[in-house]
Amino acid sequence: MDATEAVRLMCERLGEGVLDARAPRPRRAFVRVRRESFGEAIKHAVLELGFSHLMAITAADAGEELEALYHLVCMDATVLTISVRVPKGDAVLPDMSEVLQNAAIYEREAREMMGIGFDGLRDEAHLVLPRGWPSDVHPLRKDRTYDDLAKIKLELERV
Amino acid sequence: MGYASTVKMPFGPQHPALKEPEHFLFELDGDTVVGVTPRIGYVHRGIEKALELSTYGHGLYLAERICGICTVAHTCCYTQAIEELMGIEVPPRAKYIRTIMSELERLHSHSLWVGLVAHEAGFDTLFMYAWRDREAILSLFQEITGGRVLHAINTLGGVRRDISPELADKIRCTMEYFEGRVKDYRRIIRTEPTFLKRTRDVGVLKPSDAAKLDAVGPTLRGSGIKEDVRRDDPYIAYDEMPFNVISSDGCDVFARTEVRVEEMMESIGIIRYALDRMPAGVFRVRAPRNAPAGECVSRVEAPRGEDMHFARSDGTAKPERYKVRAPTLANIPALCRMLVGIHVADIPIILAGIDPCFSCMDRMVVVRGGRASGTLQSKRDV
Repeated sequence: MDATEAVRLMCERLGEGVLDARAPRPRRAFVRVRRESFGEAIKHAVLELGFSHLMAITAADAGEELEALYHLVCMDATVLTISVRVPKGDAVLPDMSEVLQNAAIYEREAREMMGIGFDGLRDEAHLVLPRGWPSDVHPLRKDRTYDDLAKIKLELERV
Repeated sequence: MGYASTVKMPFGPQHPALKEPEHFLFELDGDTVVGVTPRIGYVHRGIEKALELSTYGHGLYLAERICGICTVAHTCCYTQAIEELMGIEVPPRAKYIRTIMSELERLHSHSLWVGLVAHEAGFDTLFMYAWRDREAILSLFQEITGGRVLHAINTLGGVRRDISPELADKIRCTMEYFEGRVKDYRRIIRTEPTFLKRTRDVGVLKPSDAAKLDAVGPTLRGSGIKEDVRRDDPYIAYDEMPFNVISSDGCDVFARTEVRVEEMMESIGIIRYALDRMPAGVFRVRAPRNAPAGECVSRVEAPRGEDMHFARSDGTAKPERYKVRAPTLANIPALCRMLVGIHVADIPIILAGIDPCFSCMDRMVVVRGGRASGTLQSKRDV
């Protein structure tokens, strides 16, 4: 499926749920959806449109909100990026392991590094950060500087 | 014989199979693995954060250092992403040079891996030969770029150095030698009984599992699924290169070895083809300092599988967000599946079988993994 077709089908299915949809070049599509439509968007893309390969989840800091971008690929190598924004005070998304079997490893990464919670995620142990790392410090947030993180690391080493 | 309870055995971070740190907690019933929990992050260097704080030009040096073995793959992926954001087109000659470098890197990475897997299989003679032969490629790198490990050849807008006709002849000569060596490896791995016994039916990954768990690269192709970014989502000059996507239906470590050895033959073919048809002209165009606001997903086929970068710009000279997903991370769920139900003695060869590269995979935390070092990593050190 080519990128324009993917964008068209996503918009057709989600209607008002789509905030922004683009296909800037062949084999690349970007669709930003409302939070309420997120689960449906992923399920539709994976189960009905055949975007069954999850390449990665990128978590980004968008000021007052956090953004999660799911990079999905189909058999024709079209990359569909479905993104969703959640406010920092209530940054929780549903766990997608049911439809994407390898989602947990990327969700754990996004959870630790950016602080997006995933409802239903079974294993919430540290995957990448050192043991004892404070659970409220997410290194990739824009307000975390190198100096902050260095201080935390020093504290950890003193223990 | 069943045991009353299972035993948990930590494996790593410093462990017998690999030269890089990684921790696996195995749950054993007798000597059969019944569960495995991976723990990564021992060589995180904070590269994603550092990339957000660096200009596009400076970021190139960071991308170069994400991994020592797939340095060309990561810089190809980085330059391709930033060039797309900046809206610049790379000259055709630069695309060919990048293709030749990528394939030389695949040759050196795969021969390194053949050596490692032979070592884990208890066949050190092949390990010695493979690593000796790999020297020929490293020497070529030195001739082409001045560096054996890091090459600094890719730059925004093209490449830094040209390949002269004399250099092209040297590459052809080395390919002649290397082709003979690869044919030798092919004969050895197919006929040597010790190697066959240690790799056949070991680390089985069924095609359905490989697809569901989204394995990538030779690990996926060793399970019979023909997916390769070079053919499916062509980048640099791959759309002009004739080559076969290699796969094998064995689904075991032997199949992964076979795929890599055959891929080396294909790489030699691609290098020869590219050298013979290299377009004339400039090999670099000037790149602007800033990139207009936008976002893009860049993919390349690194020696270990699909490498993906995501970049988002906001009109300044630094990326707003830069994400790197190296192939080893994508192969971890599939690796955990392969490790369940096997004997402890097979752990090293199965781990080595995916060709893991943990410094590629770990790239984000701002602290150096080793507690003993007690030092902090500044952005400049990264």
